[in-house]
Amino acid sequence: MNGLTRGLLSTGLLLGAILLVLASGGAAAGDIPRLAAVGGGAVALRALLLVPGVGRAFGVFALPVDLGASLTLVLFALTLTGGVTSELYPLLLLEVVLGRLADGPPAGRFLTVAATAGAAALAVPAVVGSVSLPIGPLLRVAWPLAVLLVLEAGGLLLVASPAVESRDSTAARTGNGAVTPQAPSARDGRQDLLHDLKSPLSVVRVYADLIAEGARRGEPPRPEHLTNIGNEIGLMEALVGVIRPAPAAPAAPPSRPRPRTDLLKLLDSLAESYRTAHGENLLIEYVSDEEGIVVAADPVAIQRALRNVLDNAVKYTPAGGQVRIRASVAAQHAFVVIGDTGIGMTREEQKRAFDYAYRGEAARASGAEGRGLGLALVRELLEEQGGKISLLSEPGRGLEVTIMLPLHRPEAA
Amino acid sequence: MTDASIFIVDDDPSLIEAVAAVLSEEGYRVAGASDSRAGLLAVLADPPDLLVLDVNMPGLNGWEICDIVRRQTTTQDVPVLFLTGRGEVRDQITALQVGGTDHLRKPFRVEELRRKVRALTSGRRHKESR
Amino acid sequence: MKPRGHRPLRLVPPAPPEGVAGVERLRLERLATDVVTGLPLQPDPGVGFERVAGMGIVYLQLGRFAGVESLYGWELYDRVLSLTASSLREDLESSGLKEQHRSLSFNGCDGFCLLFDLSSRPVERQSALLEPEARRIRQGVLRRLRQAFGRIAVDLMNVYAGVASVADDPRVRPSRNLARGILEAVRAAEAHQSDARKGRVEALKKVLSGRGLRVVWQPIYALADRSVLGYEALIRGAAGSELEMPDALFTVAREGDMLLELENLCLETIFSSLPRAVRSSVLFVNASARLLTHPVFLDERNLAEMKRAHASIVVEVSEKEIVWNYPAFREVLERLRAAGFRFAIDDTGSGYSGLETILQLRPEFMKIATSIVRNLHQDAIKREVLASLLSLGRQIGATLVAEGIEGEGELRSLAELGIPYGQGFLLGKPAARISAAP
Repeated sequence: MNGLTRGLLSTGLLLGAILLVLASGGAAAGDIPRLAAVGGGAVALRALLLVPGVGRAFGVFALPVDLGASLTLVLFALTLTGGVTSELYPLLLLEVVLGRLADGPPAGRFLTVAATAGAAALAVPAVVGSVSLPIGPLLRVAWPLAVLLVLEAGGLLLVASPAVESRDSTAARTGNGAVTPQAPSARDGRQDLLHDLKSPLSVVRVYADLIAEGARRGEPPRPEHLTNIGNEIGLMEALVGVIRPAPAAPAAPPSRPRPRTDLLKLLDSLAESYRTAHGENLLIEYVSDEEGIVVAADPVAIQRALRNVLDNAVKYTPAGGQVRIRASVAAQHAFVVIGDTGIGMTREEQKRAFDYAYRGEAARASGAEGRGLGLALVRELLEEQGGKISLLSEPGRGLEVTIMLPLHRPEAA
Repeated sequence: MTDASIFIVDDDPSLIEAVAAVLSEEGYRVAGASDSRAGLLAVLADPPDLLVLDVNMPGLNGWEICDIVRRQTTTQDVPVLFLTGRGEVRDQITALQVGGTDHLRKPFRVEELRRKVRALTSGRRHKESR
Repeated sequence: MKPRGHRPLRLVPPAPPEGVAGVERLRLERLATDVVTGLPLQPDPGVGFERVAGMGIVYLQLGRFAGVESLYGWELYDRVLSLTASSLREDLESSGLKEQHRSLSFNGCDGFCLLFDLSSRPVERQSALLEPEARRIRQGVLRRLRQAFGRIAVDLMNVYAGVASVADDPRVRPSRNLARGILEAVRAAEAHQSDARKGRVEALKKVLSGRGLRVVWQPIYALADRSVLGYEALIRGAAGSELEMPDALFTVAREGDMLLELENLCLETIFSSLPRAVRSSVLFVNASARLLTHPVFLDERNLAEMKRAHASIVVEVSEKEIVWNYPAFREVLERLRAAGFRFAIDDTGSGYSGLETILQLRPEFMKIATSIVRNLHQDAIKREVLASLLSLGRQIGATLVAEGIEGEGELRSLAELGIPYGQGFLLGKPAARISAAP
């Protein structure tokens, strides 16, 4: 269920609640404008949250049903029947804010329910006195609570989706709607691993044989063969869970005290090379406000990391799309943001993007080949250099990768 | 026979490059695809003198590609060399049943690769020399 | 000097959406057509809906009652099917109903469906037209199969034909009407098959009660010097009868639940007629797992009697049988070895299970399946398989015997690979009387 559907559903529930009040004859003519204002305000709030920037600011990508707010508004409508109790307003605001937290850890959602229950407790006396229903006094008290529970239960079902559950992958199975890639069992993992090792092993064997043959002819090993072997070994190490894949840099001089890379120049040449390869299908843009950015990082590692990210961007963006590279400086760090207009990632995929050998549904479905190791390696490469990486995505709208690297400081180490 | 054209389909681009590194040294013209579907279409459009197929690939696997290739009159005689990850007798039989010509178990030695490619490209050129 | 070039690798980009669609079409075509016969896998009447009524169906069923494919291998069955398909195509060209013929299809395993548009003929006449056509087609197929394969496989491949007409019933959907008609034809063919089967079971009963079996001996030679290692005892029924070949005998026995009786009679026949040449070399006898695990067979006196009749007996059991009956087998093996019998795995390499389990039995002999030996001089993959079997044999101390050697090329390849022993038509045909050296 996507954000739009959920928003509509929540609005529908709200309007239903208002109708309920009207039907029970609880609202007087003068209250209708107030009810309309409340209803309109709730709809406006939901619409606002659907606007990408705002939703992102609140950390919401898949909008859950805003049950909390719906419920309190039901209560609000009910209390109208007994006169407005202004004490409820702050609670309402608190409720809406906490409803946003429904996205996060379960604690937030408990708060939502607690606030709602509190509001209900306050509303009950007001309701009891004014609504005349052909039911006994006990039921008169229980009725609003029952409405609450029914709506909350319905909401919990709708709200329990992968985007809402926490990082627990087993919890993701309770999903309703979104397809959750299952965490592979340990045994499958081992079989896959053994199978996945065969290819890099074959590559290493080929280059090792070529080097041996060359040696018999008295030739030195070719650098590109060694580089390729290094890359494949790094891949195999990553597959078996070794933490530090070695950067393949056979010609790099040993132990330089302070590595430095001209980042803009590097990005320039990368952009040029990707333009040459993919310029026909994709618009590759490179912008920066800076004149020069030098980072304290190993150029080979950075290049490998950037290439990985760019390869992904190119791979998962269909023809006609864009890849934007943007470099800037802030707080003693350089920032490289690589954005694309490709298939993007769902929240679940983003959470697992840095796991080894994980590829999301859309990536697999897109048919592009890949081992799914890219981002895991990239993160390690960057962290080794003192950098960081983070993702932002709207499924179907694109992915933005932000890489942060420490600036090179001219004073000696 | 050198100057023969070889097409490799394998979902690992590094392996394609590695095999190409060996075979182009021998003088073969090598082309490849890591997308199995694109590889099949390329082979059908322009039949090579030898087709090297990985078996396990997402989308369309090596067995299916060989089966389809054997059904088209333009490619039914192209020799097919399978790169298999497992060495069970069953796989060897499946290779026969889909019309494969030979197979190489991964990881293989380059000398074995050269030997098999030489054997499979000797004698018959698939296309007339221009 | 080796040419040292380095041409750049040309990499084909991923398939565009039209490419993907093109591949999906090829996959669907693959599903729609059988590669061995070249025939569509679905009957296609090619007429408007209203003319389904009056469609005549001839259904030809290959009687796989002995499981030809698992006995002889998929390659032989491929040839049987493609020969049947081309026979049908040829016969249709010269058929009196050629103008009415609409579709020839294959059901994917053992049946061929022919559709004829007989709607212009009156209903009563339709079956009168179809029956003789079915007979003619059936005879044509039988004749060609016999020509190509001799009697061996064909006795297993008895062909049955059934006919049906699609009734004119406007209440029924035409596609289902046609499908139902086809099913009717299939049932008619199956009915013929079942009648034939009953007849065969009766015939077997007569053979058993009259002890009508005989033995022929096929020599096994050392490939290096053509010295004789021993003889395999092969059972035959009455010459020229349907129940002449062991596969036919055993299949009918299975159908009539007379397997043990048959095997007992086989052993009796073998041991009561051992020629001198056989007595002075090794005797290879086929036995099923069922027989070997039967208490009557394993009875010590029985085993001792067999040993008295012949000093050096090798019991051959098919690889598939061992796989299915492994635990029972293991136990039995000790008893047999204690009694002085040796043991051979027959048809090795034709099963699809890993060989490791079987090799734990450490057979003294491994007989390589005919399907692997066939044309192996032209087939690199088969040679690989054989090489690995050879090395396996060395590891466990088993002697390899190649079965079904029919050509010089095969013989040469086997000798080159180092296979020590072989048997087959090329080296020596099974015969009742044993001649001198080949």
